[in-house]
Amino acid sequence: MSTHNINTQKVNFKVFRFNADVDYLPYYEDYTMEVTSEEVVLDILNRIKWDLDGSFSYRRSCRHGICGACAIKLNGRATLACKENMNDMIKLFGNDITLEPLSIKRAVKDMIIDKADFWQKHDAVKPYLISDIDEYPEHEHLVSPKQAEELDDADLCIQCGACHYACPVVEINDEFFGPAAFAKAYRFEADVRDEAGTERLTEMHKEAQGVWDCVKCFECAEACPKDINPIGKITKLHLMLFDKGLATSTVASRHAVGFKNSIAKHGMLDEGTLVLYSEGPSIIKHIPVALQMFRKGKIVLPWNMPKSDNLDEIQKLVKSSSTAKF
Amino acid sequence: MVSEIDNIELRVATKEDAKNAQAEIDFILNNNGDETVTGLRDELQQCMTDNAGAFRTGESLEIAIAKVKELHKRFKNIRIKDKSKLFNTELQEAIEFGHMLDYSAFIVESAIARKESRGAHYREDFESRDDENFLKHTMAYMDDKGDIRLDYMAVKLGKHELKPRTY
Amino acid sequence: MKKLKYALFTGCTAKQSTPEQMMSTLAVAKKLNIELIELTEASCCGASHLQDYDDFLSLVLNARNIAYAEKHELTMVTICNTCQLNTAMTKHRLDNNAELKAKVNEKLAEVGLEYKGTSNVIHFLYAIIDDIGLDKIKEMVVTPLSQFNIAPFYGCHNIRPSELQNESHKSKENPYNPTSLDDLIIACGGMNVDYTEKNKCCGFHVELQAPKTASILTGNAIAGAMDGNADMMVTPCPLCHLKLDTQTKHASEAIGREVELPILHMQQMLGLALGCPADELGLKHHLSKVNFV
Repeated sequence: MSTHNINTQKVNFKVFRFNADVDYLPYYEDYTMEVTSEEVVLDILNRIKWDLDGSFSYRRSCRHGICGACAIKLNGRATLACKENMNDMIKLFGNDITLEPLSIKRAVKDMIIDKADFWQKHDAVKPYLISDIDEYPEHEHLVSPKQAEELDDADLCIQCGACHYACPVVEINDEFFGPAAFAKAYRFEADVRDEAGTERLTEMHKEAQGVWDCVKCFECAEACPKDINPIGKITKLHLMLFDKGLATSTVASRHAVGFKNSIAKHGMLDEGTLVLYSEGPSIIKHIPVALQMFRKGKIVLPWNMPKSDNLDEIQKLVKSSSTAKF
Repeated sequence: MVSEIDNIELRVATKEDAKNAQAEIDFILNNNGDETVTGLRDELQQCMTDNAGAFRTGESLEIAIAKVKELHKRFKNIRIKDKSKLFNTELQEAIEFGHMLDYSAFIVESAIARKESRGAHYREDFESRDDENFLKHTMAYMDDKGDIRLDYMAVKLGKHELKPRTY
Repeated sequence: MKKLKYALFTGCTAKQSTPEQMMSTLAVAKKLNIELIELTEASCCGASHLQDYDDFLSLVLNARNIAYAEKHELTMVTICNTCQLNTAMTKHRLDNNAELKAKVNEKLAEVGLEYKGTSNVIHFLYAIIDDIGLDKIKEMVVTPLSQFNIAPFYGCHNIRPSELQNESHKSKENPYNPTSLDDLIIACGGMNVDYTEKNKCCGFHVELQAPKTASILTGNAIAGAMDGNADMMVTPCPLCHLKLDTQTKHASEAIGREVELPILHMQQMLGLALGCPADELGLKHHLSKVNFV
C-alpha cells in the first residue's frame, strides 16, 4: 500500500452566481468545503454542482487541459480549472477563494461567459494556412524541425480565452485583437508554408486593433495555461512588421525607432526628443503637462541632456549591430 | 465498411418523435420527486464498476440488472433545481443519465446472454471463447416498456484467420 | 552591518523626468549603509520599445551595460521596473543560449568588452529585502508612517513574467498576490491598502499611441487606491510614477472622475520612514500634491 497521505483542509469559497434570464444583478454564494490535496479546481466546480447546488453552471469537457472549456478566474487569476491543483491555489491565496467567470461583464450564467468577441477576433486574423496548393501533390510539403521551431509553441493554443480576458486592453478597447488572436496570427505568419504574409500582417499594424496597442503588461504570459507566452509572439509580430517593411510611419512605429536614434546620439534616452519625434506636430497636446513638469524640474533642456560615458562604444555598437530598417 | 454505413436506412423523424423528446425534457424539468440525478448516477457508476466491469460473472450481472431496473424506477422520482432555459447543464446531465440507464441495461442484458469470454468481456464463469455459439454480434432492442430483446448478426471475418489467442 | 555594495543602473528617467527618484535612491542608500557605484557608461535599456524594432541591438546594448557591472564584480541594481525587465531578460536569454551569447560577445569585442553572465541583475526593492531584510529595515525606522494608509502599486515589469523575475531574487513573488511592497509598507510602520489594481498595468507604454487606453488604466489604478481609502500610493517604478503623478488630468477625464493622490517612489517612502530630510527625497519634483510632509 502506498503511504501517500491525502490531506484535507477547510476552504471558504465565494462563488459568482448570475443567470442572465432571471437575475438583474449577480451575487455571490458562499460554500465551505473540505478540500483534499488531490483535487483540482474543476473538482470543486463539480462538487458544488453535484453535491450542493445542481443549478450551478460552468463549461467543462475534456478534464485534461486540452479542450480549453473550463477556464475561469480564481481570486482574479485566470485559471484552467482542470489543470490547477487546489493545494497550489490555497498556498497562493490562502483559504478564502473566490471563483468568478473569466469576464464578469460577459457573464451569461455563473462561470459561463459569452465568448463571441474572442471568436470574432480569432476569425479576424485569418487563423488558417493560406497557400496555393497543388490539388494532386506528388510529394509531401516538408517542414524541417528547425522551421517548425519557428512557431515557438504558438500552435499549442487551446483557445481557452485565459489570456484574452486577462488582457487589460481587451477590457477597454473593443477593437483590440488581444493576445490569443495575436498568438494565432503569429502561428501562421511563422509557418513557412503560409503565403498570406503581408495580408495578415498588415492587419497587425493597424491602430487600435493591432500590436501597437499592447501595453506590455505580461498578463497574457502569466495567464496562459499552455505556456505559449503570447506577448513574446506580439514582440515577434512587431519585429516582422519592420522586417517586411510594413511598419509605416506612425506615432507607434516612430516611438520604437526613436529609441535607437536617441541611443545613437546620447547613449541614454532623450525623453523630450523621443516624444517630439514620435508625435510630430501632435506634440502640441503634451505641452500643458510638459510645462507643469518643467516647472517641477522634470524636464532637462536639450543643452543639458546627459550622455552616457564611453558614448563612442555605444555609437560603434549601434552601427555594427543594428540590422533593422525603417 | 464505408459502403455499409451508406446502406443504413435512417427512419424519417416524426412529430411523435419530437413529442417524445419534448416529453422527456418536460418530465425532467417539472417532476417534483426527491431523488437527485447525481445520487442515482453515483449508484449506477458504482454498481456497473463493481458488477459489469471487464471481469464479470452471471451472478454479478444479475445484481447489476436488478440495480439498473431499480434505478430506472427511481429515475421517475427525480427533481432538478435548475428550471431555466439558459445553459441548463443540470437538465443536460439528467437527460444524459436517462440514456446511461438505457445503455447500462443494453450492456448488462447482452453480457448475461453471452456465456463465454471475448476480449474485454471476461466471464469468470465462462473463461474461454466459444466461437461455435457466440461468434456473432449482439443486437439489442428496447421496447416501449423498457424490456430488451436480443438478436444476433453474423460476423464478417475478412482476412484474419480465426484462432485462439494464446498470448 | 557589513557595507553592501552594488553597481547602480540608473536608467534614463532618473536623470531626466524623475530626478526625485535618483535623489531618494542615494539618500536611502546612505541611511542603509549601501555603497552604489553608478554605471555612468550604461545606455538606455530600450524600454521594451527598441526590442520591438531591433531585437539584436537591444541585446548587445543591455549586455554591454551588464558587462560594466561585471567589470566591477558587483551585482547590478536597477531602480526602474522596465530597466529590470529588459536587463534581466537579456541576461536570461544570453545565459541560456550559448550561440546567442557568442554572437553578442562578438559585437562587444569590437569595443573591448565581454558579457560573462557573472553579475546578478536585481531591482533595488528586492535587493534590500534580500540583503538587508525587512526585520532589519523595520529596526532602522525612526519615523514610522503609522498614520498613513499606503497603497502599493507594484508595476508590471517587476512581477511579470514571474518565472524571469523570480530568477533574480530570493524572496519569491507571486504576480497574482505580490507581497514585497506591502511588507515594506508595513516595515515602515504604514497600513498597506489592498485593492484590485495593485498588480495591474498603469498604461505607460502606450501613452503616445493609445492615450485613451493609457489614461483609463492610470485612472482605474488611482481610483482603486482612493476607494481603498489610501492616503498615498507607492511604487518601485519611475514609469508608473510618471503616469500616476503627472497624468492625473487625462486620467480623470478618461474615467469621468477626479483622481489624484500623492504618489511616492518606493525609495521616498522608505526615506521618510528612515528619517531622511524631505529635501533630500526630492518631494518638490512631484506634480500631484504631496501635502503630508
